[in-house]
Amino acid sequence: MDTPFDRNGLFSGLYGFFADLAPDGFAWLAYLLAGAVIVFIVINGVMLLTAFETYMERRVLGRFQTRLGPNRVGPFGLLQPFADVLKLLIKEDLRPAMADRFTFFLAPVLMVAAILLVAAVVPFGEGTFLADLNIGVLFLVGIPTIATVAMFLGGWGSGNRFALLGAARAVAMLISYEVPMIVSLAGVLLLAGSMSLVDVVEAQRLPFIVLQPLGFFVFLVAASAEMNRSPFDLMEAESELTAGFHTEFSGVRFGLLQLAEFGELVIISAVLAVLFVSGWKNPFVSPDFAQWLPGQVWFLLKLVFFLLLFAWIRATLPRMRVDQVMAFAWKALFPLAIINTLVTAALVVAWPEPEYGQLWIMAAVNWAVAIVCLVAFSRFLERHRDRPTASVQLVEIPAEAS
Amino acid sequence: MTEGIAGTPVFTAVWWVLAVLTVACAVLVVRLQDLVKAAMALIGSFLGIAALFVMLNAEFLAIVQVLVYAGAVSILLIFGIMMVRDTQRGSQANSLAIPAAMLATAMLAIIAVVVLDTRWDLLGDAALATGVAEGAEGVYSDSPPAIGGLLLREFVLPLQAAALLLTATLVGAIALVRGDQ
Repeated sequence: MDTPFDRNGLFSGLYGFFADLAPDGFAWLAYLLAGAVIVFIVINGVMLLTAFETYMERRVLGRFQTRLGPNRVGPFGLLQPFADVLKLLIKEDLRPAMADRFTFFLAPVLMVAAILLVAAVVPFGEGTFLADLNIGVLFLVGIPTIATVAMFLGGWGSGNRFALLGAARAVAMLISYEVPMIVSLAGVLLLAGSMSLVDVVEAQRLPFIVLQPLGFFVFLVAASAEMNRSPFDLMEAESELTAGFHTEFSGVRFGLLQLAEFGELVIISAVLAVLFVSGWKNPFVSPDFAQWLPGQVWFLLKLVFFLLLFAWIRATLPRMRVDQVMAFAWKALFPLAIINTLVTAALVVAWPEPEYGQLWIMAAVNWAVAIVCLVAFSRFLERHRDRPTASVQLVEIPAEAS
Repeated sequence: MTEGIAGTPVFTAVWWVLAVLTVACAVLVVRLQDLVKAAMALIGSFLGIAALFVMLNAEFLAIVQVLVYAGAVSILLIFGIMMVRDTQRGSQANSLAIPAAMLATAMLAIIAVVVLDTRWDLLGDAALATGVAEGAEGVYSDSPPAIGGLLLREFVLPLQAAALLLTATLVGAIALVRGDQ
Protein backbone atom coordinates (compact mmCIF):
# COMPACT_ATOMS: atom_id res chain seq x y z
CA MET A 1 0.00 0.00 0.00
CA ASP A 2 1.39 3.36 -1.01
CA THR A 3 1.23 5.62 2.01
CA PRO A 4 1.91 9.34 1.96
CA PHE A 5 4.50 8.76 4.70
CA ASP A 6 7.38 7.46 2.62
CA ARG A 7 10.01 8.91 4.91
CA ASN A 8 8.35 7.61 8.07
CA GLY A 9 9.47 3.98 8.06
CA LEU A 10 8.10 3.23 11.52
CA PHE A 11 4.66 4.54 10.68
CA SER A 12 4.51 2.84 7.28
CA GLY A 13 5.52 -0.48 8.84
CA LEU A 14 2.90 -0.29 11.58
CA TYR A 15 0.28 0.87 9.10
CA GLY A 16 1.02 -2.04 6.79
CA PHE A 17 0.83 -4.47 9.74
CA PHE A 18 -2.56 -3.18 10.92
CA ALA A 19 -3.94 -2.77 7.39
CA ASP A 20 -3.40 -6.50 6.78
CA LEU A 21 -5.36 -7.32 9.92
CA ALA A 22 -8.19 -4.85 9.40
CA PRO A 23 -11.28 -5.85 7.39
CA ASP A 24 -12.04 -4.08 4.10
CA GLY A 25 -13.20 -0.50 4.40
CA PHE A 26 -11.56 -0.05 7.78
CA ALA A 27 -8.23 1.29 6.57
CA TRP A 28 -8.76 4.37 8.74
CA LEU A 29 -8.75 2.09 11.78
CA ALA A 30 -5.27 0.84 10.84
CA TYR A 31 -4.18 4.47 10.40
CA LEU A 32 -5.52 5.30 13.85
CA LEU A 33 -3.95 2.26 15.53
CA ALA A 34 -0.55 2.86 13.94
CA GLY A 35 -0.66 6.45 15.16
CA ALA A 36 -1.78 5.37 18.64
CA VAL A 37 1.11 2.89 18.98
CA ILE A 38 3.71 5.54 18.14
CA VAL A 39 2.01 8.05 20.44
CA PHE A 40 2.18 5.46 23.23
CA ILE A 41 5.90 4.88 22.61
CA VAL A 42 6.71 8.60 22.41
CA ILE A 43 4.79 9.59 25.55
CA ASN A 44 6.23 6.75 27.63
CA GLY A 45 9.70 7.38 26.25
CA VAL A 46 9.51 11.03 27.27
CA MET A 47 8.14 10.10 30.70
CA LEU A 48 10.88 7.53 31.36
CA LEU A 49 13.57 9.92 30.15
CA THR A 50 12.14 12.59 32.44
CA ALA A 51 12.29 10.20 35.40
CA PHE A 52 15.88 9.35 34.50
CA GLU A 53 16.66 13.05 34.11
CA THR A 54 15.50 13.94 37.64
CA TYR A 55 17.67 11.13 39.03
CA MET A 56 20.68 12.10 36.94
CA GLU A 57 20.37 15.78 37.77
CA ARG A 58 20.21 15.12 41.49
CA ARG A 59 23.27 12.87 41.32
CA VAL A 60 25.21 15.34 39.16
CA LEU A 61 24.29 18.28 41.40
CA GLY A 62 25.37 16.16 44.35
CA ARG A 63 28.77 15.67 42.71
CA PHE A 64 29.10 19.40 42.10
CA GLN A 65 28.24 20.15 45.72
CA THR A 66 30.51 17.41 47.17
CA ARG A 67 27.70 15.24 48.48
CA LEU A 68 26.21 11.97 47.34
CA GLY A 69 22.68 12.64 46.08
CA PRO A 70 19.98 9.94 46.17
CA ASN A 71 21.60 6.50 46.46
CA ARG A 72 19.32 4.42 48.69
CA VAL A 73 16.32 3.28 46.59
CA GLY A 74 17.36 0.46 44.26
CA PRO A 75 20.86 -0.01 42.78
CA PHE A 76 22.74 3.35 42.85
CA GLY A 77 19.41 4.97 43.82
CA LEU A 78 18.07 4.37 40.33
CA LEU A 79 14.50 3.77 41.55
CA GLN A 80 14.40 7.13 43.35
CA PRO A 81 12.14 8.85 40.73
CA PHE A 82 9.56 6.07 41.04
CA ALA A 83 9.57 6.39 44.81
CA ASP A 84 9.06 10.14 44.40
CA VAL A 85 6.11 9.62 42.05
CA LEU A 86 4.50 7.15 44.49
CA LYS A 87 4.99 9.62 47.33
CA LEU A 88 3.35 12.43 45.34
CA LEU A 89 0.44 10.19 44.35
CA ILE A 90 -0.50 9.24 47.92
CA LYS A 91 -0.07 12.75 49.31
CA GLU A 92 -3.16 14.78 50.10
CA ASP A 93 -4.35 16.94 47.21
CA LEU A 94 -5.06 20.31 48.79
CA ARG A 95 -7.14 23.01 47.19
CA PRO A 96 -7.01 26.45 48.85
CA ALA A 97 -10.33 28.03 49.78
CA MET A 98 -9.58 31.07 47.61
CA ALA A 99 -8.64 28.99 44.56
CA ASP A 100 -10.68 29.00 41.40
CA ARG A 101 -11.77 25.36 41.07
CA PHE A 102 -11.76 24.98 37.26
CA THR A 103 -8.57 26.97 36.56
CA PHE A 104 -6.72 25.26 39.40
CA PHE A 105 -7.60 21.88 37.90
CA LEU A 106 -6.85 22.87 34.30
CA ALA A 107 -3.45 24.54 34.65
CA PRO A 108 -1.21 21.49 35.41
CA VAL A 109 -3.00 19.30 32.85
CA LEU A 110 -2.63 21.94 30.13
CA MET A 111 1.06 22.40 30.89
CA VAL A 112 1.88 18.69 30.62
CA ALA A 113 -0.24 18.38 27.45
CA ALA A 114 1.56 21.29 25.77
CA ILE A 115 5.00 19.89 26.63
CA LEU A 116 4.20 16.36 25.45
CA LEU A 117 2.71 17.73 22.22
CA VAL A 118 6.12 19.11 21.22
CA ALA A 119 7.57 15.56 21.29
CA ALA A 120 5.28 14.72 18.36
CA VAL A 121 7.52 16.46 15.80
CA VAL A 122 10.94 15.42 17.14
CA PRO A 123 12.61 12.81 14.89
CA PHE A 124 14.31 10.22 17.10
CA GLY A 125 16.01 8.35 14.29
CA GLU A 126 15.91 7.90 10.56
CA GLY A 127 12.29 7.18 9.73
CA THR A 128 11.46 6.98 13.45
CA PHE A 129 9.13 9.79 14.37
CA LEU A 130 5.48 10.51 14.90
CA ALA A 131 4.89 13.32 12.43
CA ASP A 132 7.01 15.25 9.94
CA LEU A 133 5.23 18.60 9.81
CA ASN A 134 6.32 21.11 7.18
CA ILE A 135 6.21 23.69 9.98
CA GLY A 136 8.13 21.56 12.50
CA VAL A 137 10.45 24.27 13.81
CA LEU A 138 7.61 26.75 14.30
CA PHE A 139 5.58 24.00 15.99
CA LEU A 140 8.19 23.40 18.63
CA VAL A 141 8.51 27.07 19.54
CA GLY A 142 4.78 27.78 19.14
CA ILE A 143 3.17 25.04 21.21
CA PRO A 144 5.04 25.82 24.48
CA THR A 145 3.35 29.24 24.47
CA ILE A 146 0.21 27.36 25.56
CA ALA A 147 2.19 26.23 28.63
CA THR A 148 2.88 29.92 29.32
CA VAL A 149 -0.86 30.63 29.35
CA ALA A 150 -1.38 27.61 31.63
CA MET A 151 1.29 28.89 33.99
CA PHE A 152 -0.42 32.27 34.26
CA LEU A 153 -3.82 30.66 34.81
CA GLY A 154 -2.31 28.44 37.50
CA GLY A 155 -0.86 31.43 39.32
CA TRP A 156 -4.12 33.34 39.04
CA GLY A 157 -6.32 30.38 39.95
CA SER A 158 -4.39 29.69 43.16
CA GLY A 159 -5.88 32.76 44.79
CA ASN A 160 -2.52 33.59 46.35
CA ARG A 161 -0.60 36.85 45.92
CA PHE A 162 2.80 35.15 45.80
CA ALA A 163 1.56 32.74 43.16
CA LEU A 164 0.15 35.58 41.05
CA LEU A 165 3.36 37.61 41.39
CA GLY A 166 5.45 34.60 40.43
CA ALA A 167 3.22 33.92 37.44
CA ALA A 168 3.31 37.54 36.25
CA ARG A 169 7.10 37.56 36.53
CA ALA A 170 7.40 34.25 34.71
CA VAL A 171 5.11 35.29 31.87
CA ALA A 172 6.88 38.62 31.35
CA MET A 173 10.17 36.75 31.13
CA LEU A 174 8.85 33.98 28.88
CA ILE A 175 7.38 36.45 26.38
CA SER A 176 10.67 38.39 26.25
CA TYR A 177 12.81 35.31 25.66
CA GLU A 178 10.51 33.83 23.05
CA VAL A 179 11.60 36.56 20.61
CA PRO A 180 15.38 35.84 20.57
CA MET A 181 14.62 32.11 20.69
CA ILE A 182 12.57 32.21 17.49
CA VAL A 183 14.90 34.64 15.69
CA SER A 184 17.97 32.55 16.59
CA LEU A 185 16.45 29.63 14.68
CA ALA A 186 16.22 31.70 11.48
CA GLY A 187 19.87 30.92 10.68
CA VAL A 188 19.21 27.18 10.93
CA LEU A 189 16.15 27.51 8.70
CA LEU A 190 18.11 29.53 6.12
CA LEU A 191 20.84 26.88 5.95
CA ALA A 192 18.40 23.95 5.86
CA GLY A 193 15.95 25.60 3.47
CA SER A 194 13.02 23.90 5.20
CA MET A 195 11.08 24.04 8.46
CA SER A 196 10.60 20.28 8.63
CA LEU A 197 12.82 18.81 11.36
CA VAL A 198 13.63 15.77 9.23
CA ASP A 199 14.86 18.06 6.45
CA VAL A 200 16.90 20.04 8.98
CA VAL A 201 18.70 16.88 10.11
CA GLU A 202 19.29 15.72 6.55
CA ALA A 203 20.65 19.13 5.56
CA GLN A 204 23.39 18.92 8.22
CA ARG A 205 26.45 17.78 6.30
CA LEU A 206 28.28 19.60 9.05
CA PRO A 207 26.49 19.78 12.41
CA PHE A 208 24.87 23.22 12.55
CA ILE A 209 26.63 23.98 15.84
CA VAL A 210 29.81 24.38 13.71
CA LEU A 211 28.03 26.63 11.20
CA GLN A 212 25.86 28.52 13.70
CA PRO A 213 27.82 29.13 16.92
CA LEU A 214 26.03 32.41 17.63
CA GLY A 215 22.60 30.96 16.87
CA PHE A 216 23.36 27.99 19.12
CA PHE A 217 24.48 30.24 21.97
CA VAL A 218 21.39 32.47 21.75
CA PHE A 219 19.06 29.48 21.48
CA LEU A 220 20.72 27.72 24.43
CA VAL A 221 20.41 30.79 26.67
CA ALA A 222 16.87 31.66 25.56
CA ALA A 223 15.77 28.05 25.94
CA SER A 224 17.10 27.79 29.47
CA ALA A 225 15.16 30.98 30.24
CA GLU A 226 12.06 29.46 28.63
CA MET A 227 12.42 26.46 30.92
CA ASN A 228 12.92 28.65 34.01
CA ARG A 229 16.22 26.95 34.62
CA SER A 230 18.93 28.50 36.71
CA PRO A 231 20.28 31.20 36.22
CA PHE A 232 16.86 32.33 35.01
CA ASP A 233 14.78 30.62 37.71
CA LEU A 234 13.62 33.85 39.30
CA MET A 235 9.94 32.97 38.87
CA GLU A 236 10.39 30.49 41.69
CA ALA A 237 13.00 32.41 43.64
CA GLU A 238 12.49 30.84 47.06
CA SER A 239 13.95 33.80 48.88
CA GLU A 240 11.51 36.25 47.31
CA LEU A 241 8.35 34.46 46.25
CA THR A 242 8.10 31.24 48.34
CA ALA A 243 7.80 29.06 45.23
CA GLY A 244 6.34 31.21 42.47
CA PHE A 245 3.22 30.19 40.62
CA HIS A 246 3.12 26.64 41.99
CA THR A 247 3.10 27.69 45.65
CA GLU A 248 -0.37 26.26 46.27
CA PHE A 249 -0.11 23.07 44.24
CA SER A 250 0.35 19.81 46.11
CA GLY A 251 0.10 16.07 45.58
CA VAL A 252 -0.65 14.88 42.07
CA ARG A 253 -0.94 18.39 40.65
CA PHE A 254 2.50 19.32 41.95
CA GLY A 255 3.79 16.10 40.40
CA LEU A 256 2.30 17.13 37.05
CA LEU A 257 3.97 20.55 37.26
CA GLN A 258 7.32 18.91 38.01
CA LEU A 259 6.75 16.53 35.09
CA ALA A 260 6.08 19.52 32.82
CA GLU A 261 9.22 21.30 34.03
CA PHE A 262 11.64 18.39 33.63
CA GLY A 263 9.79 17.03 30.59
CA GLU A 264 10.41 20.37 28.88
CA LEU A 265 14.11 20.02 29.72
CA VAL A 266 14.18 16.60 28.03
CA ILE A 267 12.31 17.91 24.98
CA ILE A 268 14.52 21.01 24.63
CA SER A 269 17.61 18.80 24.84
CA ALA A 270 16.12 16.62 22.10
CA VAL A 271 15.41 19.73 20.01
CA LEU A 272 18.97 20.99 20.50
CA ALA A 273 20.28 17.59 19.43
CA VAL A 274 18.13 17.67 16.29
CA LEU A 275 18.69 21.29 15.28
CA PHE A 276 22.36 21.82 16.12
CA VAL A 277 24.22 18.51 16.36
CA SER A 278 22.61 16.65 13.45
CA GLY A 279 20.07 14.49 15.29
CA TRP A 280 20.43 10.81 14.52
CA LYS A 281 23.61 11.17 12.45
CA ASN A 282 27.14 10.47 13.56
CA PRO A 283 28.52 14.01 14.02
CA PHE A 284 32.23 13.11 13.71
CA VAL A 285 32.80 11.48 10.33
CA SER A 286 31.09 13.89 7.95
CA PRO A 287 30.43 13.92 5.09
CA ASP A 288 30.21 10.19 4.36
CA PHE A 289 28.39 9.34 7.59
CA ALA A 290 29.57 5.91 8.54
CA GLN A 291 27.15 5.46 11.37
CA TRP A 292 29.02 3.08 13.79
CA LEU A 293 25.94 3.08 16.01
CA PRO A 294 22.19 2.98 15.26
CA GLY A 295 20.77 6.48 14.74
CA GLN A 296 18.52 6.24 17.79
CA VAL A 297 21.57 5.60 20.00
CA TRP A 298 23.37 8.65 18.58
CA PHE A 299 20.26 10.69 19.27
CA LEU A 300 20.05 9.48 22.88
CA LEU A 301 23.76 10.15 23.46
CA LYS A 302 23.37 13.73 22.24
CA LEU A 303 20.24 14.20 24.34
CA VAL A 304 22.02 13.01 27.50
CA PHE A 305 24.97 15.27 26.67
CA PHE A 306 22.65 18.30 26.65
CA LEU A 307 20.97 17.16 29.89
CA LEU A 308 24.42 17.06 31.51
CA LEU A 309 25.24 20.48 30.06
CA PHE A 310 22.07 21.95 31.60
CA ALA A 311 22.85 20.33 34.97
CA TRP A 312 26.35 21.80 34.78
CA ILE A 313 24.98 25.29 34.03
CA ARG A 314 22.52 24.97 36.92
CA ALA A 315 25.26 23.96 39.33
CA THR A 316 27.60 26.76 38.24
CA LEU A 317 25.72 30.03 37.73
CA PRO A 318 23.96 32.10 40.41
CA ARG A 319 20.46 33.45 39.88
CA MET A 320 20.09 36.74 37.97
CA ARG A 321 18.21 39.78 39.24
CA VAL A 322 14.82 40.40 37.64
CA ASP A 323 15.77 43.67 35.88
CA GLN A 324 19.03 42.13 34.64
CA VAL A 325 17.13 39.26 33.08
CA MET A 326 14.82 41.50 31.06
CA ALA A 327 17.68 43.81 29.99
CA PHE A 328 19.72 40.80 28.90
CA ALA A 329 16.96 39.52 26.62
CA TRP A 330 16.44 42.81 24.81
CA LYS A 331 19.92 44.37 24.88
CA ALA A 332 22.06 41.30 24.24
CA LEU A 333 20.25 38.22 22.95
CA PHE A 334 17.87 39.92 20.52
CA PRO A 335 20.55 41.97 18.66
CA LEU A 336 22.84 38.92 18.62
CA ALA A 337 20.10 36.82 17.04
CA ILE A 338 19.44 39.51 14.42
CA ILE A 339 23.18 39.78 13.58
CA ASN A 340 23.35 35.99 13.25
CA THR A 341 20.38 35.96 10.87
CA LEU A 342 21.82 38.74 8.68
CA VAL A 343 25.29 37.14 8.45
CA THR A 344 23.83 33.72 7.68
CA ALA A 345 21.51 35.18 5.05
CA ALA A 346 24.46 36.92 3.37
CA LEU A 347 26.45 33.67 3.37
CA VAL A 348 23.53 31.71 1.95
CA VAL A 349 23.15 34.29 -0.82
CA ALA A 350 26.90 34.04 -1.54
CA TRP A 351 26.89 30.21 -1.71
CA PRO A 352 23.35 28.96 -2.39
CA GLU A 353 24.61 25.39 -3.03
CA PRO A 354 27.78 25.18 -0.90
CA GLU A 355 30.33 22.44 -1.45
CA TYR A 356 31.89 20.76 1.54
CA GLY A 357 34.93 23.06 1.53
CA GLN A 358 32.76 26.16 1.23
CA LEU A 359 30.81 25.01 4.30
CA TRP A 360 34.02 25.33 6.30
CA ILE A 361 34.52 28.90 4.98
CA MET A 362 30.98 29.72 6.11
CA ALA A 363 31.74 28.18 9.50
CA ALA A 364 34.94 30.25 9.82
CA VAL A 365 33.09 33.49 8.99
CA ASN A 366 30.34 32.65 11.47
CA TRP A 367 32.82 31.82 14.24
CA ALA A 368 34.68 35.08 13.65
CA VAL A 369 31.43 37.05 13.79
CA ALA A 370 30.30 35.14 16.88
CA ILE A 371 33.51 35.76 18.83
CA VAL A 372 33.69 39.46 17.87
CA CYS A 373 30.02 39.98 18.75
CA LEU A 374 30.17 38.13 22.07
CA VAL A 375 33.28 40.05 23.19
CA ALA A 376 31.84 43.39 22.03
CA PHE A 377 28.48 42.80 23.72
CA SER A 378 29.98 41.63 27.00
CA ARG A 379 32.23 44.74 27.06
CA PHE A 380 29.24 46.96 26.25
CA LEU A 381 26.95 45.40 28.87
CA GLU A 382 29.70 45.51 31.48
CA ARG A 383 30.20 49.25 30.88
CA HIS A 384 26.49 50.13 30.88
CA ARG A 385 25.51 47.83 33.71
CA ASP A 386 22.43 48.86 35.65
CA ARG A 387 23.72 49.18 39.17
CA PRO A 388 21.15 48.85 41.93
CA THR A 389 20.28 52.35 43.10
CA ALA A 390 18.23 53.55 46.02
CA SER A 391 14.61 53.78 44.91
CA VAL A 392 13.88 56.70 47.27
CA GLN A 393 13.42 59.91 45.30
CA LEU A 394 14.12 63.17 47.03
CA VAL A 395 11.23 65.57 46.59
CA GLU A 396 11.94 69.24 46.92
CA ILE A 397 9.42 70.91 49.15
CA PRO A 398 8.48 74.39 47.93
CA ALA A 399 9.58 77.16 50.26
CA GLU A 400 6.13 78.60 50.91
CA ALA A 401 4.69 75.23 51.89
CA SER A 402 7.12 74.64 54.76
CA MET B 1 -0.80 15.67 6.91
CA THR B 2 -4.38 14.65 6.26
CA GLU B 3 -3.90 12.83 2.93
CA GLY B 4 -4.34 9.32 4.31
CA ILE B 5 -7.58 9.82 6.20
CA ALA B 6 -9.44 12.69 4.51
CA GLY B 7 -13.04 11.74 3.85
CA THR B 8 -13.15 8.81 6.29
CA PRO B 9 -15.80 8.69 9.04
CA VAL B 10 -13.19 9.48 11.72
CA PHE B 11 -12.08 12.57 9.83
CA THR B 12 -15.63 13.84 9.51
CA ALA B 13 -16.35 13.08 13.17
CA VAL B 14 -13.22 14.92 14.33
CA TRP B 15 -14.16 17.88 12.13
CA TRP B 16 -17.62 18.06 13.71
CA VAL B 17 -16.27 17.78 17.25
CA LEU B 18 -13.76 20.60 16.59
CA ALA B 19 -16.35 22.80 14.89
CA VAL B 20 -18.87 22.40 17.72
CA LEU B 21 -16.18 23.03 20.36
CA THR B 22 -14.97 26.16 18.57
CA VAL B 23 -18.45 27.62 18.29
CA ALA B 24 -19.33 26.62 21.85
CA CYS B 25 -16.22 28.36 23.17
CA ALA B 26 -17.07 31.46 21.13
CA VAL B 27 -20.57 31.51 22.63
CA LEU B 28 -19.09 31.09 26.11
CA VAL B 29 -16.83 34.12 25.55
CA VAL B 30 -19.94 36.26 25.22
CA ARG B 31 -22.09 34.56 27.83
CA LEU B 32 -19.63 34.15 30.74
CA GLN B 33 -19.73 36.91 33.35
CA ASP B 34 -16.26 36.21 34.77
CA LEU B 35 -13.79 37.97 32.48
CA VAL B 36 -10.88 35.58 33.12
CA LYS B 37 -13.09 32.60 32.29
CA ALA B 38 -14.22 34.40 29.13
CA ALA B 39 -10.56 34.87 28.15
CA MET B 40 -9.97 31.14 28.69
CA ALA B 41 -12.93 30.33 26.45
CA LEU B 42 -11.45 32.67 23.84
CA ILE B 43 -8.17 30.70 23.96
CA GLY B 44 -10.17 27.51 23.49
CA SER B 45 -11.86 29.04 20.46
CA PHE B 46 -8.45 30.09 19.00
CA LEU B 47 -7.08 26.57 19.47
CA GLY B 48 -10.18 25.08 17.83
CA ILE B 49 -9.69 27.33 14.80
CA ALA B 50 -6.02 26.28 14.65
CA ALA B 51 -7.08 22.62 14.64
CA LEU B 52 -9.57 23.30 11.83
CA PHE B 53 -6.73 24.94 9.84
CA VAL B 54 -4.70 21.74 10.26
CA MET B 55 -7.60 19.69 8.90
CA LEU B 56 -7.63 22.01 5.86
CA ASN B 57 -3.91 21.29 5.22
CA ALA B 58 -3.01 24.85 6.26
CA GLU B 59 -0.43 23.94 8.91
CA PHE B 60 1.38 27.25 8.65
CA LEU B 61 -1.77 29.26 9.36
CA ALA B 62 -2.56 26.88 12.22
CA ILE B 63 0.77 27.38 13.98
CA VAL B 64 0.65 31.15 13.43
CA GLN B 65 -2.82 31.08 14.99
CA VAL B 66 -1.42 29.28 18.04
CA LEU B 67 1.76 31.37 18.26
CA VAL B 68 0.15 34.78 17.82
CA TYR B 69 -3.40 34.43 19.10
CA ALA B 70 -3.46 31.59 21.63
CA GLY B 71 0.06 32.38 22.86
CA ALA B 72 0.66 36.11 22.71
CA VAL B 73 -2.62 37.98 22.25
CA SER B 74 -4.39 35.99 24.96
CA ILE B 75 -1.58 36.64 27.44
CA LEU B 76 -1.81 40.39 26.78
CA LEU B 77 -5.59 40.12 27.12
CA ILE B 78 -5.30 38.39 30.50
CA PHE B 79 -2.75 40.98 31.66
CA GLY B 80 -5.25 43.65 30.65
CA ILE B 81 -8.04 41.93 32.56
CA MET B 82 -5.83 41.75 35.65
CA MET B 83 -5.68 45.55 35.65
CA VAL B 84 -9.48 45.79 35.73
CA ARG B 85 -11.43 45.66 38.95
CA ASP B 86 -14.54 43.50 39.39
CA THR B 87 -13.47 40.81 36.95
CA GLN B 88 -15.97 38.41 38.53
CA ARG B 89 -19.03 40.43 37.52
CA GLY B 90 -17.89 41.70 34.15
CA SER B 91 -19.16 44.90 32.58
CA GLN B 92 -22.67 46.17 33.11
CA ALA B 93 -25.26 46.12 30.34
CA ASN B 94 -25.60 49.42 28.56
CA SER B 95 -27.64 51.01 25.79
CA LEU B 96 -25.34 49.94 22.95
CA ALA B 97 -27.15 46.61 22.42
CA ILE B 98 -28.96 47.66 19.23
CA PRO B 99 -25.94 49.19 17.39
CA ALA B 100 -23.87 46.17 18.43
CA ALA B 101 -26.50 43.79 17.06
CA MET B 102 -26.60 45.71 13.76
CA LEU B 103 -22.82 45.67 13.44
CA ALA B 104 -22.65 41.96 14.23
CA THR B 105 -25.35 41.19 11.65
CA ALA B 106 -23.49 43.22 9.03
CA MET B 107 -20.25 41.31 9.77
CA LEU B 108 -22.10 38.00 9.52
CA ALA B 109 -23.60 39.07 6.19
CA ILE B 110 -20.18 40.02 4.78
CA ILE B 111 -18.62 36.73 5.91
CA ALA B 112 -21.57 34.77 4.50
CA VAL B 113 -21.22 36.51 1.12
CA VAL B 114 -17.47 35.77 1.05
CA VAL B 115 -18.03 32.12 2.00
CA LEU B 116 -20.73 31.60 -0.62
CA ASP B 117 -18.80 33.51 -3.29
CA THR B 118 -15.47 31.67 -2.93
CA ARG B 119 -14.59 28.68 -5.09
CA TRP B 120 -13.76 25.93 -2.64
CA ASP B 121 -13.28 23.01 -5.07
CA LEU B 122 -9.77 24.05 -6.14
CA LEU B 123 -8.81 20.47 -7.02
CA GLY B 124 -12.20 19.27 -8.34
CA ASP B 125 -12.95 18.34 -11.97
CA ALA B 126 -14.54 21.71 -12.69
CA ALA B 127 -11.49 23.55 -11.37
CA LEU B 128 -9.15 21.33 -13.40
CA ALA B 129 -11.16 22.15 -16.54
CA THR B 130 -10.80 25.90 -16.01
CA GLY B 131 -7.13 25.79 -15.03
CA VAL B 132 -7.59 27.10 -11.48
CA ALA B 133 -6.16 23.89 -10.08
CA GLU B 134 -2.65 24.46 -11.43
CA GLY B 135 -2.02 27.30 -9.02
CA ALA B 136 -3.69 25.46 -6.19
CA GLU B 137 -1.52 22.32 -6.40
CA GLY B 138 1.58 23.99 -5.02
CA VAL B 139 -0.27 25.63 -2.17
CA TYR B 140 -1.94 22.38 -1.17
CA SER B 141 1.14 20.19 -1.08
CA ASP B 142 3.54 22.45 0.82
CA SER B 143 2.09 25.70 2.05
CA PRO B 144 4.98 27.45 3.95
CA PRO B 145 7.29 27.93 0.91
CA ALA B 146 4.30 29.05 -1.19
CA ILE B 147 3.26 31.60 1.44
CA GLY B 148 6.86 32.76 1.89
CA GLY B 149 7.32 33.24 -1.84
CA LEU B 150 4.10 35.23 -2.14
CA LEU B 151 4.95 37.44 0.85
CA LEU B 152 8.50 38.27 -0.24
CA ARG B 153 7.92 38.57 -4.00
CA GLU B 154 4.42 39.66 -5.02
CA PHE B 155 3.25 41.24 -1.77
CA VAL B 156 6.54 42.63 -0.47
CA LEU B 157 5.25 46.24 -0.44
CA PRO B 158 2.18 45.52 1.77
CA LEU B 159 4.47 43.45 4.01
CA GLN B 160 6.88 46.37 4.42
CA ALA B 161 3.98 48.74 5.03
CA ALA B 162 2.65 46.44 7.76
CA ALA B 163 6.13 46.23 9.32
CA LEU B 164 6.42 50.04 9.28
CA LEU B 165 2.99 50.38 10.89
CA LEU B 166 3.91 47.89 13.63
CA THR B 167 7.22 49.66 14.32
CA ALA B 168 5.40 52.98 14.58
CA THR B 169 2.92 51.40 17.00
CA LEU B 170 5.78 50.01 19.09
CA VAL B 171 7.55 53.38 19.27
CA GLY B 172 4.24 55.07 20.11
CA ALA B 173 3.55 52.60 22.91
CA ILE B 174 7.01 53.17 24.40
CA ALA B 175 6.56 56.95 24.14
CA LEU B 176 3.19 56.71 25.93
CA VAL B 177 4.56 54.53 28.72
CA ARG B 178 7.70 56.59 29.33
CA GLY B 179 5.72 59.78 29.82
CA ASP B 180 7.90 62.87 29.98
CA GLN B 181 11.12 61.34 31.29
